[in-house]
Amino acid sequence: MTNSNYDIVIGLEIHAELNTKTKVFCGCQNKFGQEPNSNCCPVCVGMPGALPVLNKEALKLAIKAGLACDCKINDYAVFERKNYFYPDLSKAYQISQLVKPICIGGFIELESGKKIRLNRIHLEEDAGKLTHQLNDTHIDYNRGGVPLIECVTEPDISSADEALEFLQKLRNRFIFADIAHCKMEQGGMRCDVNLSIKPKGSTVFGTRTEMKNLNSFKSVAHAIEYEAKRQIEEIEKGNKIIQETRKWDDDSGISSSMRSKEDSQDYRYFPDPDLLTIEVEPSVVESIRSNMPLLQEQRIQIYSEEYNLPTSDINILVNSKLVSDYFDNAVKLLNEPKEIANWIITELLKQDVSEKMPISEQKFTQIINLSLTKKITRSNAKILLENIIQTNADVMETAKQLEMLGDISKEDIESIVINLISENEKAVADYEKTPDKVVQFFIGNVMKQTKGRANAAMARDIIIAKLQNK
Amino acid sequence: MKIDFEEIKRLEKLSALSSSEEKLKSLAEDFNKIAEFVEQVKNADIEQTDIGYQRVLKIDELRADEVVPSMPQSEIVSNAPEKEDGCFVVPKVVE
Amino acid sequence: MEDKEIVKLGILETLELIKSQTITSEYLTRLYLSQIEKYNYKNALLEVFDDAITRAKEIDEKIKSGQKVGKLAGLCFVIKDNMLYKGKKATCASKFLENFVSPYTATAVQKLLDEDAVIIGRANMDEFAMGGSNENSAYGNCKNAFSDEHVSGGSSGGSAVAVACNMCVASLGSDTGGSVRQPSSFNGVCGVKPTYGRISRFGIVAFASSLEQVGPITKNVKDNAYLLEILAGFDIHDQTTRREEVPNYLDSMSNGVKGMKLCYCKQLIEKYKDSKYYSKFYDVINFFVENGATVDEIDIKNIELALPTYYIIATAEATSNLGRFDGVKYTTRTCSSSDIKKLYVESRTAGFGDEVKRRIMLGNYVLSSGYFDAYYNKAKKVQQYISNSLNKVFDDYDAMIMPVAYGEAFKIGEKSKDPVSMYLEDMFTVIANIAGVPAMSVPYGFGVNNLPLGLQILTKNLCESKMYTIANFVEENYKGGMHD
Repeated sequence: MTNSNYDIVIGLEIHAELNTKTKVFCGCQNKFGQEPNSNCCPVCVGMPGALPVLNKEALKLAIKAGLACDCKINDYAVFERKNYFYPDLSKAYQISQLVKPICIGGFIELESGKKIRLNRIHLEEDAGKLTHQLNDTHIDYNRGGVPLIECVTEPDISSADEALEFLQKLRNRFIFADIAHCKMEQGGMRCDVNLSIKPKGSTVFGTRTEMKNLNSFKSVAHAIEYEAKRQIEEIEKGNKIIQETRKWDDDSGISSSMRSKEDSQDYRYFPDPDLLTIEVEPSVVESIRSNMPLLQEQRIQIYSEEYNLPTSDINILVNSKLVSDYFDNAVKLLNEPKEIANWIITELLKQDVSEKMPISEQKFTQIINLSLTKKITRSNAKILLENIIQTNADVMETAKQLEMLGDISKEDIESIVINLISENEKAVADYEKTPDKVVQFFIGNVMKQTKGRANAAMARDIIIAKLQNK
Repeated sequence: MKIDFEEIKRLEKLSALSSSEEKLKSLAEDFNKIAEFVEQVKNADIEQTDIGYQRVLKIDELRADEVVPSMPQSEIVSNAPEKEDGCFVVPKVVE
Repeated sequence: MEDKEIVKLGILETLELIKSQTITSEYLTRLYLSQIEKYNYKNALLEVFDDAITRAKEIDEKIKSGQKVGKLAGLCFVIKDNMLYKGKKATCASKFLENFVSPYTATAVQKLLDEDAVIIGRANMDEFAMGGSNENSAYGNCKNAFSDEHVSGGSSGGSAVAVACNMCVASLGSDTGGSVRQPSSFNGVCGVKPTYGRISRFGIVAFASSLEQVGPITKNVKDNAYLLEILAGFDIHDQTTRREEVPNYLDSMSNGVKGMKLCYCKQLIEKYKDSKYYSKFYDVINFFVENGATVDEIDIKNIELALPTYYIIATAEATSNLGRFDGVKYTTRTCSSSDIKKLYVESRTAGFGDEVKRRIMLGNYVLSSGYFDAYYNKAKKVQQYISNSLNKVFDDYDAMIMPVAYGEAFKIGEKSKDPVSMYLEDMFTVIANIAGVPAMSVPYGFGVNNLPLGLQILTKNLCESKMYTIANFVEENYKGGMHD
């Protein structure tokens, strides 16, 4: 990337908002985008006398995140108060975890085989939102108390590419395990970067800086490249790197100093007396583990080894958890993975599937099954599918209404053919000259009249017999 | 005096408090007496104690993830010294 | 019955008068209001709620129309000024919360309301419950019920004096290091700090979360047992509340102390030996023995560390709990600057009183980097040690007895200049908070200044019934006291 005389040392801190119905310490909704302070209660705004009450699901999701990243789950979870004054923090402390985080260790393996170790994953509460006006600042605590996991890596990452791959994998795990939605544009996933450089091969770390305000994977990559370049230039100029927090600005593509280490705060962490110590029983951890949805990597393996799907199809299916879940459910209903994959990719992905799939798995597999068992033709199946997507009506009822169902008897075909022959004298006259063309013409008309239900081979035989008898 | 003015000032800063210079002196005197009083704990000869009678909660005893109605916005900000559009208002914060 | 006799009655007796429709709640409320008027100079109440009569009338209607009424129907209570009651002010006796109107109601207060109680006013206290004399109130000190020169005790001084001066039938206080028991002792009433987690803290402005409990203050022991049963229980809003079923304390009280194993702690009583009240304590021990209990002297190593340990833990938690008072959301804003940091500092400096400031700073001292292990962590270890020791004692003994305080109420101004001498007053009471066990103060006569004295009874966690049994026996049978 930059200068081959230096190693770049990167550690990441990732925050992800958890998929819970309620906030982490109260029963207010965990929901994005509402009127300011309308989604709040005495706990959210730290009213006198209010007490935090831990959401069981939030703790379980944090454990799940640990299991998804091969962490060790601690026997006890202790919540601590991180004390500092800032307007987005309603109580002047954030409830977080320091000494006994819920998950410790763990790793994520990159495609190269390199393991990026995790230091910890812990559970904490999000802060409120500040909106800066011309002369003052407005505080909205709706986001205050939204459950967050903070995932801290060891300084094992050595390039922007590795950082991106790690983030992508971590994000996929959280999404595929139903832990977090990770919508970066809504602040559902945020990333801070710690970066230092050292002479190539040196075992001594350089002074690191921390970069905040990275709101997309693209800005993480840009910020890493910018900061590595900046530090190398400073060193080459003979300057020292100052330990500081820097703020990344996406528009200008540069970072600037927010505060130096000298201004760093004394957070005075201590156990939150309102929450007591939580015992994490192994049986609870095991039940979370056994109910864990398949992660992206595991699905890729199954699609490839068990279903023999082509890599291109697999990549499309696992690109979205929604699509992949849909595929898995459909295969459970109809054990035809290849057929289902084809139908999803060619038919369903034409639609907008960013929020939901256009048709239920039941109806979808019912239609595919009608086609596979030749109850309806493949082309009729496609028409039927489009129809059901529009109407969401009953599959069999619709097929009947569209007259796609029911066998056409030999007698029925014969009477249709007799009618057709009497109505198309010119075609009959051409039979001698261009027999194939004429037979094809009659088959087409039979199919048209039977809405494609007639057996084409049978129709052909009948047509030829009748024409030759003429 | 064990805890000097500098230390008192550091503690005031952490506490988001501030005293006039004359008040600082009596505060420092009081504070030193109090610090001396709690000093015995620091020097106590107590070996590592077992967790013993400490109460712990089991995960199943925790709150279920069920939504309860929030408080009306007007009540949330009812005691605020300055508010606008349902928000608490503070002087402009520069990051 | 004469009016001046009615206001002296306890909960159970007054309830009879109301239920039998001998008197109405409105009549009763007016009697208390005139008592409040008469003893206004004690400064026990910071506000008399103007809807008390309206509420009393509503309850009278219910009774008249034959509707089912609650267990406290029409009775008048006072709550400490750190308890939230929707629509009413709660100032914690601080200038900082001068204008704070509660947007919701504390669980403990709600439980009184649910039983058709009338809440007549809010009681004076030491600011944010920090103090033992009520001299730290921003709204003036509260005088002792028995003497205008002596302190009411604290921090729940107003709550205790209100009961002692018959301004209400009973009151609620909160006890973090003795704040219910010590003023109860000083004013001759019964005050209980229940097992930690027995009563919900939701809606009580927090001082030191891991130590404090709401406590009932009553005119007699049975009232206290009756009231605790109503207040106690699991609350979804307070994760530290206990789930164990709440017993009927009145019914589960037994008769007498015969066969009971009692003890007192040698190290604590040694501190008391030079006191002029020692003989009185000795007298009550004899009383128990004469009535068939055994009383052993036991050793509890390091128990004297409970007091400084208490001050480390309590101030650490208080520092953090009081961070939310910053001039932004609830508290008065004092600000001449457009800088947010200065807004915090100016508002807090103007809003908090001196003792609160000292404790916030002490809390930051013991929590701050470089001191945390030596002070806070060490204090937590000592706490665990003392708690373990005390719990072991209760494996062998039914109860531990000790004084509530060194003596009678002290003089106003006597200790207010020296914070440490004030802290030392809490020696006997902090033990129950440090260990989380229940404790109560029951009056046992008067001291040399003709002011009341309280005996303290501590039992095992959740064994309040035993505590009440012993206290009730003292109340009904102990006639000792150097005064009479």
